[in-house]
Amino acid sequence: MGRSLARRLRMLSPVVVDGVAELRAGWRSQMLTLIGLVWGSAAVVLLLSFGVGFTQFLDLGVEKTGDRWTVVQSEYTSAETGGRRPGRRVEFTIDDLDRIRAGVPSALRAAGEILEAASVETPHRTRATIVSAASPEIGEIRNHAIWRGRYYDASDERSGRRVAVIGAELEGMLFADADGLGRSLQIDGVPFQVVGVLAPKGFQLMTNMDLHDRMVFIPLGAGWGLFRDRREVDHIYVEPRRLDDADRMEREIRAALWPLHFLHPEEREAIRFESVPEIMRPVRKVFVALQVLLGVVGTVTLAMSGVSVANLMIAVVDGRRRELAMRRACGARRGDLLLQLMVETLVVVGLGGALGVAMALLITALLGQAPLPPAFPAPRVSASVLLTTFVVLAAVGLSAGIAPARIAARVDPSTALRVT
Amino acid sequence: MNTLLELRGIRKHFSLGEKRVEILHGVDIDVLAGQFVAIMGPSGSGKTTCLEILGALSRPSEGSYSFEGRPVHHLDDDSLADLRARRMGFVFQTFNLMPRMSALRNAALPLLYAGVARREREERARDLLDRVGLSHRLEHRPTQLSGGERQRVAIARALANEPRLVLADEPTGNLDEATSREILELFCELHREGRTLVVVTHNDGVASRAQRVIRLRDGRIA
Repeated sequence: MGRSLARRLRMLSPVVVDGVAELRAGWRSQMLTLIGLVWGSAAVVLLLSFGVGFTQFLDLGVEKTGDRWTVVQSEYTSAETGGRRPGRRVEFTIDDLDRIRAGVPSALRAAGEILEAASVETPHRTRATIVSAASPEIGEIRNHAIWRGRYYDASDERSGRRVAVIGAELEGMLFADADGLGRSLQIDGVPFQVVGVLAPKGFQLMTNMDLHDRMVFIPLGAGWGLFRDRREVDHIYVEPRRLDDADRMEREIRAALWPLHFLHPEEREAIRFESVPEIMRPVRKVFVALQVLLGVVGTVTLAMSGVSVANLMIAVVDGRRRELAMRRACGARRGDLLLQLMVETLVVVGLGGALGVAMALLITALLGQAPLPPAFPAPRVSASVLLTTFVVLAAVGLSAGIAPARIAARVDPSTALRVT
Repeated sequence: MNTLLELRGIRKHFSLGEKRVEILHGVDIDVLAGQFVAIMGPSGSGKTTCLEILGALSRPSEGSYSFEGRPVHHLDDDSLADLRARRMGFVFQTFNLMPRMSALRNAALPLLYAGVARREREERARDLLDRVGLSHRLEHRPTQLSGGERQRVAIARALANEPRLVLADEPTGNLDEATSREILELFCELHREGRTLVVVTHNDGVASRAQRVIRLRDGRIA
């Protein structure tokens, strides 16, 4: 066993040299097959990379606007309770927010928010945009990273200071020199001072009404009087302490809010919960399915070129029967020829695969530099893409090599004596 | 001298559809170690089939074959391959060199299958090519060599494993007269060194240098 293995290992290097020599000698006849392999390998890498690009795009898009929160929305009741008829509108107030903060242990932080379309004005420009008036915790819940200045805080909230944080894109729209920090703007005619500018987020998912880059963010207290009556909130964002606490947190919120709104214990319509993981679950399933589909399409393309390689190698064996018989006459065992043809096939597949991967890397690099639309993710070549491509290529190479290698191993050594 | 190989009652037949074609009809041959034997006969007489069996390239349909006193007719494919790799060398009419390999790698080929390490393979192949007068052609490919030079490479290859038996099939069949004489001289030199040679030939000149001539006619020894 040990001697046999050592013998085969000694054989490996000359067999690879022979494989390369055969490839070089027959490159013209192998050109079409090689092109097929190059294209097939490039297709696998590109399609998988697009899948990864889409998934990363999705993750990043969600991460930019917070990926852990649950939004609690008020709706209409569906069940009668305590003589109150169904169809009653539930209105959230600061009391609901306080109840959640005080009575929901699994919630890490909560923020009430009012969202309203408003006219935002600077001395020279006016823009219609969306204003978010919310508790300062919203900054962490919705991942509002500050670019310049600061986010408003609890003392701004308590003192009712009219301060605003604006999106990076809106800053450019409102201020001619694109520097709004410390300057004032008017929201529906009410003056606010810009204390911070958000870091640009680019394309985002899970935004409620508009892109954060074009929004204005003010303390909840400043929103009362401007958009709503005092104490009202449109909805409440809650972030669980642990992601797998979301269900428990929902139960605790129900227990905390139901008595406040005189809701029937079985009421499910009046208050609606939407969590990012829950919303994203079907979307992620679609993306996984898309990735699998893209991978299958690429693999099938490569497998088709594998069939072409198998045909080519069978023709090669047929043309080299005498040579293979001569090797047998010189003492080659069947397994030696099996190894030789497998290696030669793998050399062909390896070369085609390497060129294909190189081509795909070039295309992805070019696409990475190209000005793609914001909603069109560039393909991303990850280690898993390269590993998958390698595994698929190895499988194609081994499958394509089996038939020709078996034919080669069965060559009758006495053929070497026959003069043709 | 000891008996190197012994064929007894060798029959060989092939099936062509429903028809059975008999090539050898009970051939008995003994070859002593160190003998130079020529096998002659007209086309279709079974010379090449006989050489195939002697060279363990195919098994007889019936009969027994002993090499160095050991029966080998029942050995499996890999055991026959090992026997060829360690005990036999072949020279063919059409040289049968590997077209993409240098003379050096061609001469070293049997050593590869015998499991010899690369450095030793190259050293031995270099010595052998030197011996057949091709030390200046080591890196040449077969297409860059003349017919006589190709056959010398083939002889070097046949000698690579220090075989007990060298089998040749019409070794001068594709060569001009002068080159044939040189190759024949090389064979005689091998014989003088004590090697056992079995040569299939049509050439009376080759046969005249052999110690013994076996004539085949219609698959039988005439």
